[in-house]
Amino acid sequence: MNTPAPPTIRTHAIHNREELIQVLGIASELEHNLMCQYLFAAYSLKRYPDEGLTEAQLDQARGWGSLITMVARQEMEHLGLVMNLRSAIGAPPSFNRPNYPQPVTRYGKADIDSVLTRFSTATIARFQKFEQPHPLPPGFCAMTVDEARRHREQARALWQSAPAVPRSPLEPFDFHFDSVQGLYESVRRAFRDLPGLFIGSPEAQIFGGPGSPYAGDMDDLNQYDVDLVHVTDKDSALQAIHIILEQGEGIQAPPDYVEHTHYCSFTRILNEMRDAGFDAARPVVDNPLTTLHMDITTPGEVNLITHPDTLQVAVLFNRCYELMLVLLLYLYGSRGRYPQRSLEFTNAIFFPLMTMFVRPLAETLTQLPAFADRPGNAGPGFELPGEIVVLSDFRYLWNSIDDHFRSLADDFGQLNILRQPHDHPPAIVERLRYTSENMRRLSLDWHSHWTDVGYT
Amino acid sequence: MLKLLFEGYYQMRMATDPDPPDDPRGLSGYTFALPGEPDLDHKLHFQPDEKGAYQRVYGLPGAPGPLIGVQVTDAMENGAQRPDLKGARVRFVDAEVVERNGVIVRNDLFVIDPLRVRIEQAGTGSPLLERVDYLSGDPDKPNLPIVDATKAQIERRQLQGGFMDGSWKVALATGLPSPDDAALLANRRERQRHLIELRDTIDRQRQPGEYQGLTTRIAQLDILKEWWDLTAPPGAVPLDRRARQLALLADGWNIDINGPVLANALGADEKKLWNLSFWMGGWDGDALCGFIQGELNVPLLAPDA
Repeated sequence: MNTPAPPTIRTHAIHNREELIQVLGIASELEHNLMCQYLFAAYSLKRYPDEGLTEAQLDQARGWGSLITMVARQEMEHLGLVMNLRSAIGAPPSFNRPNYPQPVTRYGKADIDSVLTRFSTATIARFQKFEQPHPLPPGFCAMTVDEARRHREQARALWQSAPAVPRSPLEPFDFHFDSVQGLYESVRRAFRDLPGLFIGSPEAQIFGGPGSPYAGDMDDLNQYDVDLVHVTDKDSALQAIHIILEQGEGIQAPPDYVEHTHYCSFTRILNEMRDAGFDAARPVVDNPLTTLHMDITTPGEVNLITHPDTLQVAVLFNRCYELMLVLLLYLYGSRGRYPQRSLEFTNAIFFPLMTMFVRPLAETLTQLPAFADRPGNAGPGFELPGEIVVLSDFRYLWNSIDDHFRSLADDFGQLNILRQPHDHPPAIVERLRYTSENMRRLSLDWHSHWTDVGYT
Repeated sequence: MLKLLFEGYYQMRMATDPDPPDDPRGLSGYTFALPGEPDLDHKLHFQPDEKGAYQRVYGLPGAPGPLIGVQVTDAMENGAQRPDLKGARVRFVDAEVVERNGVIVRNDLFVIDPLRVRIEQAGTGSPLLERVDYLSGDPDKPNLPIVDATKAQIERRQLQGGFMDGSWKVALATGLPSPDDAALLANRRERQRHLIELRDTIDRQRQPGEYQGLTTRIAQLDILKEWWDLTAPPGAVPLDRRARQLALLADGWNIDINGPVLANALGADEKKLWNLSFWMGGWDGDALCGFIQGELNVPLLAPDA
C-alpha cells in the first residue's frame, strides 16, 4: 500500500482473556442493540391497503421490511456467534443491554446512536453508517467481481498491517473503538495471538450443522438459516469472526456476496427510498417506553406511552421479550448441565416466542396510539428492567418460567382491547386474540414438558 | 366399499417462516399477498372458485404452472368402475394446515383442521358426499378448538409419514423430469423467464401494481441457493427451500372421518367411519400451490338396507 491508512484502520490491543471477555461483552451488547433498532424500524412500516399507500408502494415497502428483518436475523446470528466466542474462552453468556435511548458517546468513537426511530431515510442512513466497511471504496456495492476481489485483497492487507493502539498495563482499559469493524478486527487479533484461550465447556454453546447434537434432524438450527459455528479452537473462532465481518461490512466477503452485505442492503434501500419518494412508515414516535428506566440518561428523548390500552400491550411485549432472553441465556450457558431439558427450551424460544409473540406484539404496537391526548403511534421499546439472569437451581428456574408463562396467559386475557373489543379495530382485536390463545396453549405446553403436543 | 381416488393442485395462501402464520400479507418469508391479491387466508383451497383462492398467472398465455383443482380421477364401487364419478370435485371445506410455529406442533408436521370433506358433482356442484370430522372424536364437543386439543387428537390429524426431499413420487405427479437439484433449478429459472417475458409487456406507469408484483415474484425466483450460508464450502451452497420444496413429499395423512354426514347421494353407510388418506407435496412457492394425491374409502350400505 502506498497511501497511509486512514485513521479508522486501527485495532486496539487486547492483552488477556479478561479484556477479551469485556470486549466480547461490548460486542454482544452492540449486536443486540443494533438488532432491536433494525426490528423497530422494520415493524414501523405500513403493511395494509387502508394505510394510505398504493398497492405498488405497499409491496415496495414490504421488500424493504423483508431486507431489514433479514439483516436483523443475521444480527441475531452474530449475537449467537459472540455468545459462543465468550463461552469458548470460559465466560458466561450475557444478553445485557442498556435501554433506549443512550448517548452516542456510549460506544466511544464509533458514533453509534442507540435510539429507536421509525423507518425513514435518516434512520436507514444511520444503519448504513453502522455497517460501513473500512476502507470504503467508491462504488463498493456496485463493484464487479474482479474489482471486489482486488479490493478484498487490499483491505485484508491493510487490516493485517493496521497499527494497534498500544497501551501499557498501567493505563486504563478504555476500549474506544472507531467502528464495528475495528472492534471485531481487534477481537480477531486477540483470538489469533493470545495463547491458552479455549477453556470453556464445548456443550455450553448453541450451534447447528455437522457435529451438533441435532445435526441433520428437525432441531438443527442450520436449516432455519441460523448458521452458528461451534467455537472450540482458534480456527473456529476466526471463522465465527469472519462470518460476522463478511455479512456485515463485507470487507472480506466473497466477491459475489458484497451486494448482500448489511452495508449494501441498507445502501440499496436508501437509494430505492430516494427514488420512490413516499413515506412508508406509520407515525411511530421515537423511543416509546412504558417507564423511565434507571439507565436512561437522556429522558427528554423518551416518549412515555400514556394510552392505557396500548400501555398494557407494551408491558406484555416487554415481558415476552425478557422471557425469551432468559430462555436463551439458559441455552447458551447451561445447556450442557441438563441436555435432556435443552430441547424444551429450544421448543419455546426459536419457534414460538419470537415469531408468535414478540413479532406480532411489536407490529401491533406500531398500530396503536402512544398517547391518550395527542397523535403518535407506539412501538416496541425492547425494555429491560435490569440484568437478565438465569437461576442456578434448575428446579427453581423451570418453575419460575412456568410461572411466567402462566401469568402471561392470564394477563393476555385481561387486556382492555380484548375485554372491550368493539372499541378497537377488528384486525387488531383478532391478532391479539390469536396471540392470547397461543400464549394459553404455550403455557400448557411448557407446563406439560411438551408432552401434549403432536408428533415432533 | 366405494373407493374414490383423487388428485390435483391445491392452493394455500399463507405466510411462511419467519412470518407468523396469521400474517395477512407476508413480510420476511417467501410468500406474499401481492398487489391486487386478497389477504392471505391460510386455508386449503381445492377449487379456484373458493373465496380466498387466487389463481396466479405464470407468464404470457400458455406459460406452464399449477392450476387449482382437485378431482376424483378414479372411482370403484366394490371393485367395479364408477366412471360417472370421475371428474367429481373434491374440497376440504375451510381446512387449514396448522402448525403455529411450535405452539401446536413443530417442524411443519402439519395438522389438518378443521376437516370437512366434500365430493361434488362436476359441472353442477351438487354435493355427492360430505362429512365432518370431529377433532375431539366426541359429538358432544363438536367445536373443539385446535389450541385445546390433546396430543392424541392432534396426532390423529397430522401426517404420519414425515418428509422426504427429492421425491420421485412428487416429480412424477407434477411433471418434473426428475427430483434432482438440476431439474428443480431449471424449473425455477424457466418460471422466472416466463414472468420476465410477461413483465416486459406491462406498462409500469399504467399498471404499477402488476409490475411491482411481478418484480417481487421475479426477485424471489432469484433466490435458489442459500447464499447467506457462509459456513457452507464454496460450490456446496445448499439449495434454498424455494427450489427444494418442488420435490418435497409430506406423506401419510390417514384419518377415519367420524362426524355427522352432511350429504350422502351415493348410499354411504353413515354409521361407519370413512377413511381418508393422502400425501401432499411439490410445493410451488411462486404459485402458492402444492399437489395432493389420496383416496377416500367409504363403506356403503347393503343393497337392501
